Amino acid sequence: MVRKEINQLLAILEVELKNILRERGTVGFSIFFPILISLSTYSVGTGILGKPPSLELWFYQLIGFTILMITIVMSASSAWYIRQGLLSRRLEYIFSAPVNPIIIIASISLTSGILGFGIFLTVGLIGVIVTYGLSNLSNFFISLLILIIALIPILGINLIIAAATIIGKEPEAISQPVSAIVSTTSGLAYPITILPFILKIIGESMPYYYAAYYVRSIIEGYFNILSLGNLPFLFLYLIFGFVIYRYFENNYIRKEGAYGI
Amino acid sequence: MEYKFKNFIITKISAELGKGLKIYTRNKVWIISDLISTPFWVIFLFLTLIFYAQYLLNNINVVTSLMWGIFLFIFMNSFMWAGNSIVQSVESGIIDNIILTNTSLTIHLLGRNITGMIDILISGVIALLTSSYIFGATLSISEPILFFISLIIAVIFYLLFASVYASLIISLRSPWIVTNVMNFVLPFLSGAIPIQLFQKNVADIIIYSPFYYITGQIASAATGVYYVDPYLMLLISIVFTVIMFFMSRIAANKLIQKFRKEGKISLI
Repeated sequence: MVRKEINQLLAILEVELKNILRERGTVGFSIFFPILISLSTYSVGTGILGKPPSLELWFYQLIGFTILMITIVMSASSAWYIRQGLLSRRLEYIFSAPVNPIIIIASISLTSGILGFGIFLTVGLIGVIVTYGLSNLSNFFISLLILIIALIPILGINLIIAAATIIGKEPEAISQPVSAIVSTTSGLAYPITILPFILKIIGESMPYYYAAYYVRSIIEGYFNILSLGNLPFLFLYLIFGFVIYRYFENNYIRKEGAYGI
Repeated sequence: MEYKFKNFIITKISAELGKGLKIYTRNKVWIISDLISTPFWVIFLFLTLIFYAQYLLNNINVVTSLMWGIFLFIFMNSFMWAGNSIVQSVESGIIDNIILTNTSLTIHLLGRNITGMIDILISGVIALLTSSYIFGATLSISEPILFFISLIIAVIFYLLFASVYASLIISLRSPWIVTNVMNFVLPFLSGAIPIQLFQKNVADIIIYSPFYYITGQIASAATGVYYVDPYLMLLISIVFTVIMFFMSRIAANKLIQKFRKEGKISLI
């Protein structure tokens, strides 16, 4: 039973990965974008201060922008999947086929997760070598493992976005506020200590902040194992995401038969 | 004959504007999305730009300059995405009909630009209010008349620029990549981020950018800090707008030539 579902997941994963590889421009841009934004703000910093700021600060933003890029790719992919499925009526065939929709959504999220991992590997490697030379490379590779774990709760948020797209129809209109809130409150481009209290609380209650914090602290060598204590709570997002998605799918797609738009 | 021609142009313009407004009002979820997202993006941009010198958050002049920078960032972004929207016309197959009916790209993009301008109005106001409420920026405009004149010139300039830009990216496979890159490069080169925030040697480079006389002029009129004489700036901005008008005509003619020669104008 489980074997059949794993095979389905792997088959969809293969197709989606081939789709991504066909979009070389998108992949290239996803890698280039964090570097571009971090260099742009670095040049503003240089302009304002009259001298180049510390490279560690540039690295701080580079890691943050990379995680932001991964977040945007992951949240947009689930929303687009639902949207395109509704538009092309592909969802109609998918729901008629003996494939669990959760397997499909999971494999789509997994694909974007793999893409995100690739983006982080490339950009992070460049950042670590430029900032720290070869000395922090081992820390960087350890941080990759933590990043994979930290990204899992984000899949739950992707499921909530996919559920919202069933109602809202417009994937970008749904994923944009999520990206805006995550970018602002998660300490990706600046420390959350400078945020107003309420925004700080929002940031600390979402998994993105922890993903950035764990990765940075491991690479820079100030990681404290006790900080992983928050991780189990973040997995509640995965459970909530699953429950909410199933509710919307059962009540708005299957029950009403509203496969198209 | 001339009357018929004018009527023909007005019909095309009103059709494009009607289309733009219909699409905008149909997608209410987009309006809600913008209302939620904009304050967050403003805070994000503010703090990201000031990351290297956080002590400047207490400087009201810097904060006010940044507020106008973010307003202009939204302003320029909107026109760049309008230019990029040519991709949808290509994908939906209507671009060939646009060219066949001898409609200029500037007129065709009006539909998208009108929604962009509504966005600028709504998001721009939200950006100004958020900056004022959260960071204490001053909402007053230093030179209101010059501000509105330069804003009108900038709207005309970027309407024309959007059509030139659209004709340049129409043959690209992934034009949105170029648009995203330009969206970050252009504000820095155009004085959208007010040049008084930079060191003098950086500001001295930016004033050589033609875009500075269009966008930077708005920032200067809003903040009252001028690097170039205001009236000279105004004159140069008008000259550049006239040049952009001719460039948009040349770009449109080149597209028609390409269409006649190859039977299509894009890769798709």
